[in-house]
Amino acid sequence: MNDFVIETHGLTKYYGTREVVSPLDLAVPRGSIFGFLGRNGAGKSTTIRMMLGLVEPTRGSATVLGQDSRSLTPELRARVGYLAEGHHVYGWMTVKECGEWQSRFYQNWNWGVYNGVVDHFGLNPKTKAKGLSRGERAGLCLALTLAPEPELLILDDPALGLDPVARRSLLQSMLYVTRRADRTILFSSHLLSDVERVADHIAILDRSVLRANCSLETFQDRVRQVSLKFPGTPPPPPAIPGLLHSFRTENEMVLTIANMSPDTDRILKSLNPKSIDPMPLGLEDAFISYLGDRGEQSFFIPDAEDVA
Amino acid sequence: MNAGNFRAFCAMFWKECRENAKWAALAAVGLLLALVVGAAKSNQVLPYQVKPYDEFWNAVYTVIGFGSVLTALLLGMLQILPERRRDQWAFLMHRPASRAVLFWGKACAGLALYLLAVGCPLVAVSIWAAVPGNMAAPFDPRLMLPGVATILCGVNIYFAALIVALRPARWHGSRILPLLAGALGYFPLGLTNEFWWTMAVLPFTVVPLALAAWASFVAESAEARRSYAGRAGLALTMFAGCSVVLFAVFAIAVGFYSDVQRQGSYYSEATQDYGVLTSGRFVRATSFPVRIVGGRYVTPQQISELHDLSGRFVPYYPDALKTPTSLMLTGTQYAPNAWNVSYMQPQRYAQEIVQPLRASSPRFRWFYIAPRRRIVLYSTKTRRVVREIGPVDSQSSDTLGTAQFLGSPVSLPVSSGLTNTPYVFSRQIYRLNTDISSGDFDPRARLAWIPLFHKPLPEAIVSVTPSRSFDGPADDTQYVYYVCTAHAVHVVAPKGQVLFSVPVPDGNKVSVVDLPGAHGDAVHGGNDTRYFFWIFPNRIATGLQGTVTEYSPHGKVMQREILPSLPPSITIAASSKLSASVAPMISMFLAALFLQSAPLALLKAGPLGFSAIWASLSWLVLKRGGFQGRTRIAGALAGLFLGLPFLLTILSLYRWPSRIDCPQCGKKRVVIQDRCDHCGAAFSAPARDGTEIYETSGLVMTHTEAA
Repeated sequence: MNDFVIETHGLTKYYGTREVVSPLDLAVPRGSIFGFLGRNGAGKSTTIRMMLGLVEPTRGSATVLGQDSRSLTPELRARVGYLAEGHHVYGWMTVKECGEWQSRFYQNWNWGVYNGVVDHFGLNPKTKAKGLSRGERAGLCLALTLAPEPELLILDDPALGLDPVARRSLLQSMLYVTRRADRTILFSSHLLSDVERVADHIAILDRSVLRANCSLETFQDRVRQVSLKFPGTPPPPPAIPGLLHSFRTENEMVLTIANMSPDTDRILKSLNPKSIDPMPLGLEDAFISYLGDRGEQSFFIPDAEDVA
Repeated sequence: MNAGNFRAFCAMFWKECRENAKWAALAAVGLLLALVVGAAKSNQVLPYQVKPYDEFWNAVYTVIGFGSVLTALLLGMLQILPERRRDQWAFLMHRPASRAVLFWGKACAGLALYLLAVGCPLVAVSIWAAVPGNMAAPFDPRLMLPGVATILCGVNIYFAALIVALRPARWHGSRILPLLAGALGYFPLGLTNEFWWTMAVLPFTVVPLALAAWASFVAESAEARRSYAGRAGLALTMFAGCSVVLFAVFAIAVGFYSDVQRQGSYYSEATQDYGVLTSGRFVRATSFPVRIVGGRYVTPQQISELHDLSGRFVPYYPDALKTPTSLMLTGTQYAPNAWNVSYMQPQRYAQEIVQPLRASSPRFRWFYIAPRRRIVLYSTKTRRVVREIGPVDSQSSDTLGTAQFLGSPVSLPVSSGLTNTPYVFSRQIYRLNTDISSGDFDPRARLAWIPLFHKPLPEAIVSVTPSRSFDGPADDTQYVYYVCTAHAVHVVAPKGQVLFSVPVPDGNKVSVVDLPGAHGDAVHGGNDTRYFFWIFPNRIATGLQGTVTEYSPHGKVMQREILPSLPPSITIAASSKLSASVAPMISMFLAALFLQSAPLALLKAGPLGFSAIWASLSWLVLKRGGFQGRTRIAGALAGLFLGLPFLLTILSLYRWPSRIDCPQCGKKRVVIQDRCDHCGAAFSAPARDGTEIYETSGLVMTHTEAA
């Protein structure tokens, strides 16, 4: 059995002349909870749609559970649960009718799971879907996705627009589905707090390019922040490989750096700071630093330099 | 279909029916209201009154026609467009069922709703018309056939609407082309007179559109995913759409060209026709019927000048010129008659033979019932049958005669009812002994239909043209009937004796002039009426020689002349030039088929040059699209034979890959190919800036690293 449930090879997508997904090689390990992160418009949803054969890639290929995504068979689709971004259900159907309609497409439909998730979200089976709140609709969609007991669950920004309580419920349900070890979840998000809670592996897309693909621990370990104190005005930030951004005040310079190495230390020391102190950086802060605007930020140093 | 697929199909069918039933119901109600309004007429006496038989059914067919188009369009669009939103469509497409099952579940539900929405109003109206006492007219269930055929042709529009909604293309570009192809799907209605022929032809229009819709659903813009059948269906659909657009442009261009040619003093190209002077001399008359003065059309005079057959000018005497009257030898040109009337016309089943003035309120309505070969009289008061009449009817009002009219009806003049009006059947011609033109009639009166011939003709009559109008006295013996059968024209005296017959070769058209002997004749002398028959090959364009023959009243040939060909009309000339440039090979083929002017004349440099241009452009376009050599050659050949429509088809069919600058050679390269066409360079990996975090523990390897 292949160790990866999803593999992409140079998967690329253009809309017109705009490259929305740069050549992407990715492999999602079986049994993992894989967080697919990136800012809005980074290309996460497009990548997922290409994986599922819903969007034709411009170049490259993807395989899902060993099958080319361009020709996924109905049998294979039945093994892949997909929760689309907008939590779509047919508004005119009742909660019960949604389940009944969905169940007709699946050989293995677990009413227990469906009713369990529906109960978990406190949904009335006779309520029409258009009368549900966003969180309730997300719960209904999740129930529809989980009831066939898919081998691979792909959730496209499942927490989008949900309040914290609904998000927590959703996460609990996601954890419920991974009781079996061979189940895999790939979910995209731009909220690292959700990812931090459940994911064991992340991939980060930044402006259509895959910038990180590692475990959570590795990511946290590789993104560092250091504070350099100077007797006077700090010098301009040096050209350090992996520099994400810098922040200067009157006598301090804070640098966020990816992939720090002995060379980085040497360059920092060459600036002759009074002290070099590592700063604690939470995962969310690291994520924001990693995906935020790169380069130097400062409140007043430029003014001072202008005067000089 | 296995059990799983069947369940999925049923689920889709149920969903679509539930989702779109409201639209179908709305369409049905709207159509029913339109039928009620369309089938009614109002006058000062009655604000609401049902239209007469033929108007009623024609209104029904018209409303059903427009209603079917709108309903099919509405359902086809509404089944797709609201669901085309990204997430919703993804939700649908991720169903664990083949896309074909999803599509046919949708399409079958849509078709069922469409048929119900337009079929129910038709059935309701037909039931109403069939109930005695509602309409003073007969009812035949086959009156529903035109509606049924129209509704079935609407299936083309339904599939076209699906394609339009599914196919990603610009709305102002090729997206609406399938609708034009769908509109072409109505052409079987006018193609034939028989319902079953329409049904036989219909699959040829429906199947390509259905395949195209299916291919659009299954593969959307991914050409490679389409089956060959789907590709062929889509290609045919787009080709048909492009052809309709080109035809429209073509017609406008020809009209514009003709208008430009007409500017100035007189119509630049005169129309010409043959005639005979009262002296018996054959002449060619040139007419300038249209003149444009200050942007307005005026008709200054009918005939401008006369020449004899050798081209010599003849002084023009308007009173001396007799122009020939065309006779119909082919049944399809002659209407109305139940023998060759299309099933689309209500006259096929029952023809109102006396139509009094619309303003009057006649007591009775007269119908010839084709299937029964008898005439039925309806009371407009009770709206029920009063009397049924055969050709030898002499019974009281309660007794129905048993005799039937001979043969099929050919011409039952609707606006007449005068005593010498000929009621033409395929084997006999009748005249009525009583004037029934007013519509009022004593139902107990005795009627006599007087047969013209002593014994029925052995050959079927196609048309009958009297030599003059019927405004003279009934015993006027100066006129004759020109009775046309398939291959001859019989000159028949009012008493029924055949004076003589003129054989006419198949596929020719005939015109006739008679000259009463009172005018005398400089050439032959005598005082008898003489008859001049003009016979031309019946082709689209002229350019073929004909003959004119003069006959004595006894059928003796007095003289015969060969008629030089007449110049083709300016429109035909312009059409030939344009079509030879747009689709040269097709034009040449059609010219060879329909024009007897040598088709080789079209094989000149111009058309061949245009063929080469379309072939080259097709090849270049396919090359630019990244197609392989064999496909390019096939495309070039298709461009050679099909011309501009094919080029437009391939341009509209594919989503052409974007082209970007190659960083290596700077030339444009398509984004779908791994290597540059010009320098062979691969796409470069995304630039690295040292911030990348990859775990190369065997789990993943990035494209950047691979590169």
